[in-house]
Amino acid sequence: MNFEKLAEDLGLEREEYLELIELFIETGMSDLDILQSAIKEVNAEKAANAAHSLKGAAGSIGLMELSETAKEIEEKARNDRLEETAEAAQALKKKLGVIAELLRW
Amino acid sequence: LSSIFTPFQQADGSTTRRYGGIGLGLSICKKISNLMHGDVWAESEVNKGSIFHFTAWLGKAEDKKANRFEPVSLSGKKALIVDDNQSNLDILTHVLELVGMRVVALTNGEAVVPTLQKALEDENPFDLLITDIQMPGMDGHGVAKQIRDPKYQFPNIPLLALSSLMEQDAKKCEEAGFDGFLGKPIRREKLYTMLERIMGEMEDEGEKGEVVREKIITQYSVREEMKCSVRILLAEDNPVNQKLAKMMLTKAGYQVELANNGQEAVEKYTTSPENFDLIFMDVQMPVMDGMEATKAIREKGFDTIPIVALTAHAMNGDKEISLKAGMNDYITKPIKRELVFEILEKWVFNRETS
Repeated sequence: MNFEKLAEDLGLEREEYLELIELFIETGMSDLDILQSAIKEVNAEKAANAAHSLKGAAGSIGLMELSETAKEIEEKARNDRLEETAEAAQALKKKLGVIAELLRW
Repeated sequence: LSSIFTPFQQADGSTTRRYGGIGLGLSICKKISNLMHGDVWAESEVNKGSIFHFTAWLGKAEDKKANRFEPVSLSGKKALIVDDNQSNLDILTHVLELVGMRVVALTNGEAVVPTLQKALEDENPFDLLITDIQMPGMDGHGVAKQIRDPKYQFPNIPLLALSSLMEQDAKKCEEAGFDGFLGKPIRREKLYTMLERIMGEMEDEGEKGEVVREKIITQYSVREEMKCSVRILLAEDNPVNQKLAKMMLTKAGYQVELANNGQEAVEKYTTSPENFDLIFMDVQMPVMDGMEATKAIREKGFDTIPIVALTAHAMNGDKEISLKAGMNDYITKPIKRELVFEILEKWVFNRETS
């Protein structure tokens, strides 16, 4: 993951971008917790909203792959296919963890 | 403990210590603090924590509030305009009269001082002088020098230069005593902004009873200044998007106020509408979404403030829905910097007032 490039695309300094991505991991993790509990409770709307929030935040800081996955989850949740989303949610959580790990270095 | 402020000293001097560094940071802090007639010291308890203190003598900052642009009304103001080209005079007269100004036109520089004096004697003085730079006989610089000559009674009249020459002339105009400089061809909106700005400045000085000629205003500085005085209300619920948009906008010189949802946006805007020049409105928000918030603002009679939708899906008719709800424009997320600035350009700077 090239933070310099991502920062540059947004017209930000590297440090500013890192601040954003830290905030993203924090809020993203909490969105994912909400998403996972919503999947367990079979609350499609709650799940869709959490995925929507993730999609938007990831997209705006240039993490397009994450954003796409979140988008798929949102769409499935809105189309009565919530049961198909658990795996993707887990995968997202893993990816976020990897980014958090990258930041520590 | 105080040894840690000595260069190349570490609290733990062993080569296996946990924390790296060569021990210069704190000694630099001490130096800086000492240079500011203060000092640095620390209190520390092993395995508990440390408190670092510093003192310094600082000058009080000049009270410079967020320079909100406060235009004066142009209507009723009396302007003297000078240009050797009659059709330029006709156009300028028309443009100034459109905003209710009274205009007297002259075709040569020599007539300026007598005209100003006559008006002063008749107790109907001019509020402003706009002059072309390149003229046969007495040119614009000559006019300015004469006006600013202390032997006449109008050293404070706002003076604006119009020239087809380029910006590098601004310096020369400043030296000659001009307050503002505009290149030709003139855009109406820019001219008005500059006039409001120049005359506003002069009025302030009048109140304080002191004459401080500020830096000359050029199209560029007017623009930059307008930017800093542009306040944006950003309604967006996602913290990451909030932070990103705020970073982008403040870096570019704009002022940003946040609202976490539609309801907050409605409250913030309607309690002080004069504080905002544009609203960026996320469409999907908790509590109250962007559509509802826009409708609420429009229903309260605020129909001129530009509201720009931030929408996640351009595909499924969000554009039409947001325009229908009373928004002026829309941006698709993820937002692109260039597009945001383009929108601001379009809705804040280039709005025609007529």
